[in-house]
Amino acid sequence: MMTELIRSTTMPTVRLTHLSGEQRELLPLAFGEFLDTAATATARATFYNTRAEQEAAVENVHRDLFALDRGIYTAALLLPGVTDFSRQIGAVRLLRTPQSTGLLSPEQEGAAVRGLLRLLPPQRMLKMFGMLRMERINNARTRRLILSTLLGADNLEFWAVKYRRKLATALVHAWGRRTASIVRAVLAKPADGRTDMERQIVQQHLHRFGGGVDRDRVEQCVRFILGDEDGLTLRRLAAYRDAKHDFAAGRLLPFETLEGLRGRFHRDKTSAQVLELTRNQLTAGQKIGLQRKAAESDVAVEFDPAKYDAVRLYVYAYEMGLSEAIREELLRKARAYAERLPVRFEHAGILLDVSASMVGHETQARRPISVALALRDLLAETAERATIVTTDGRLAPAAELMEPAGDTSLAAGLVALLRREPDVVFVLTDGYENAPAGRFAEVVRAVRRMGVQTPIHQLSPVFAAEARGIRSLCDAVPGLPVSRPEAIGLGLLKALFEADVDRGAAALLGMIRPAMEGNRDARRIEEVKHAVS
Amino acid sequence: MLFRNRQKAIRVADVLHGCTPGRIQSVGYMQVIPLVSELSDDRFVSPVEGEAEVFTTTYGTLGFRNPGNCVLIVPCHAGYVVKQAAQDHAMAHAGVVQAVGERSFNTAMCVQASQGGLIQRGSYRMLILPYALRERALEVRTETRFNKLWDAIAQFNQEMGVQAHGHLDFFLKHFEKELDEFVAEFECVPRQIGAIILVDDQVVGVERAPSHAYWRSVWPCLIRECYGSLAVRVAQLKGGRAEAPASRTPLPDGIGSLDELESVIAEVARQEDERAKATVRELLDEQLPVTCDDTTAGLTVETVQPGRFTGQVVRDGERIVYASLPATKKWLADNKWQTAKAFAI
Repeated sequence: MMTELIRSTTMPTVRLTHLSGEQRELLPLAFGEFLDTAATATARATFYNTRAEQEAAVENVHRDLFALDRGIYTAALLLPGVTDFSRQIGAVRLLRTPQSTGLLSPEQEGAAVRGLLRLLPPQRMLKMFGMLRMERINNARTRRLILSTLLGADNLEFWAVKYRRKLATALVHAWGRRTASIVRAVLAKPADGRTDMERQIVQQHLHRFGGGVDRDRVEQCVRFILGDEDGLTLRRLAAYRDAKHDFAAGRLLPFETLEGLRGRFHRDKTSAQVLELTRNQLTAGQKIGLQRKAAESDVAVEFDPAKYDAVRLYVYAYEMGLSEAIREELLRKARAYAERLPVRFEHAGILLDVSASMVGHETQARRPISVALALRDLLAETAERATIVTTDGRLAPAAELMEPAGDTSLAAGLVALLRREPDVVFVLTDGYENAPAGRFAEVVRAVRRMGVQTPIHQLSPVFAAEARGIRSLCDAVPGLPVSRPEAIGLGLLKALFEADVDRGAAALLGMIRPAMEGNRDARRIEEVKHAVS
Repeated sequence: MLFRNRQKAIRVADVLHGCTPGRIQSVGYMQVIPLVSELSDDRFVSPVEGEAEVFTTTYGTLGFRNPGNCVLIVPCHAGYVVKQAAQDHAMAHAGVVQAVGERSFNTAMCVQASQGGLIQRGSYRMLILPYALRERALEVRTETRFNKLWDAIAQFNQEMGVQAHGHLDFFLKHFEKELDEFVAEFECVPRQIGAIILVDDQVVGVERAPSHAYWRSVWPCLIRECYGSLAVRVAQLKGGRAEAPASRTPLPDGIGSLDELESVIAEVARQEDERAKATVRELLDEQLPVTCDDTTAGLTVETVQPGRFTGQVVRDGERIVYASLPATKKWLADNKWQTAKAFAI
């Protein structure tokens, strides 16, 4: 499958002439290891690895690819399916080190970093700013990036009440304590009562980053963020101030913000009352995350399954049950993702690992099995006909939950699938086989010896730091890491880099086009290619 | 803790009563035969599932507060290696704590020699002492010297190639990655209540819990520190890549079709299953002389006198609700001699 796609989908429009022969040889390995990690790594412990192990492994693969080509590293961070955690530490690395030449020019890299920030949810973007502070990264690029991102944001008022302390940390880091203190003092004065010098200060430190948005709004938000609540007129900011003595005024606040105020100022109120009051302010993520609490509190919180990815829906379904609406949405998403993949099969075989370890670590409980189920649905939709077999012989029809249990025996399932003569077999597993270990590899060797050449691909939803990538069941079936169904294209890209780094680089630039073009300042992707001959 | 001297004998079959062997799991030098059962007595909890509060009051005294309504059975040789500046401790035997009760055991042992401080009340990650230390720990279970295991730990550390001091944490830190792997590789199966553990083709332990939930909560501690440490040692001694255990049948060469392969896999699995059953069968009549150590909340804690196995069982009347029976080192060494190939030339 991979070979055919390499031939048919890319042309060698990019030449990485700035790389030495040795670097070109090292690039596919470094790029592959980076994708293995970047697509699955989070800052949490997994069933197999501690948080420290995860972080150490992630650091190594980022460092290796960055050292080879800064531009390819930057572009890879924009790929669909790369985790937010990888993007956070990638952006920090880019801002920590002086810009240099590579696949992308400095201007294009700047646009790419802004693209990275846009891909991060606000809380993770702010966490990344916190990482910049922890590492004392405060160069001009970083300051400009923080200030233009925050002060030019359409959602600044909402962010101000929801992430007040984190915003204050970021702004003080960008300005420095002294300037932040001066800005706060100047903003406390009415606009028409400021001296020329004070107006210059406000212009230099606030409005030139605000992108021409409502100046009064930005000033009020910054005052609020820096702790000045006098004379606020913006609705949400005023609601925060007033909610301290008038609980009902908090209806415009985010749930957790009012929950925090309840703990300090309204201890007679219940969490259920907070939920009832703020239910119209809940974000899409909160609506799904708070369903259990809403059910317990007898508060109806509507959530639209269409707004969540398939993995999130499966995680939710494990906790709250699989409704017909969710099932339909899962099938719809699977069809939509499958249509975007450049492959079709007549008959796909899917071997699904439903053993106990697929539950995952308690900090990400049921995420591995949820990823596997979402992949099952997607892969089944890539074929006219799909045969799905599980490790314990249970039936696993599309859009149905499977409770992980028992040991891991994959060999018999593989043979059962191959007997039905599929075009391709996908093995969805964490790679830990124990009944017994190595039997899958024995079977693959045996079927190859007897001339069965059906392509077999292992897709793994679990990051295993000890292997600096995922744990493969056997040498002949290299594992591909997948954290989300949409990241399945990363496996193709990895194969392209292994076959030809120039074709791989061309495909990489093509895949990040939407992320780059989504940025107002980004040049078209064709221009990106000028960096290479 | 009251130590009596009233000896009688049970059989391994009594320990396994109500269980059937599940499919053997095999990775590297370690193999596990799950014991599954419909019997699950939820009147008893482990410190992990019961969210027991753990603390030390003096060196050598380990306490447990059981907040729940179930009787707490502290597994034999449960230990706590904590991050706070406090001396890590382990039990020298099993213990029983009444529902909504608190109990301190002054026969506990320090497992971190040159560290001062007491463990504050709280929930901590539990471990079970490494296999190599358990026999010695049981021998000194009646003594009230907090430093009674230091020499054994130092010797164990030396054998494992880490600093030869009475610090169990030296070993745990050095082999953290290897030990974590065992937790990942050996999975609990539905209705599992115990396991027979083999390392390098020898039965090195028989474990049984009162309930499925209890088993799930203690299994990571058993497979990681207790038996995992032994597998690490065997791998050290053998070096290089793990050989397949003798009980593992490789697929033959020359299989001509998928149909044949399917039947070969089934046959090999049947053979391995039969071998696992034979392993269990061979154990069933093994006599375990026991002495009663303690009676609390209607449960008796009995110690198995060293023979093929040592360890402890907890009984509710005639019913064995908990058992932890590591094989003795002497028996393993003798067995290796006895099962070695006869001289031939």
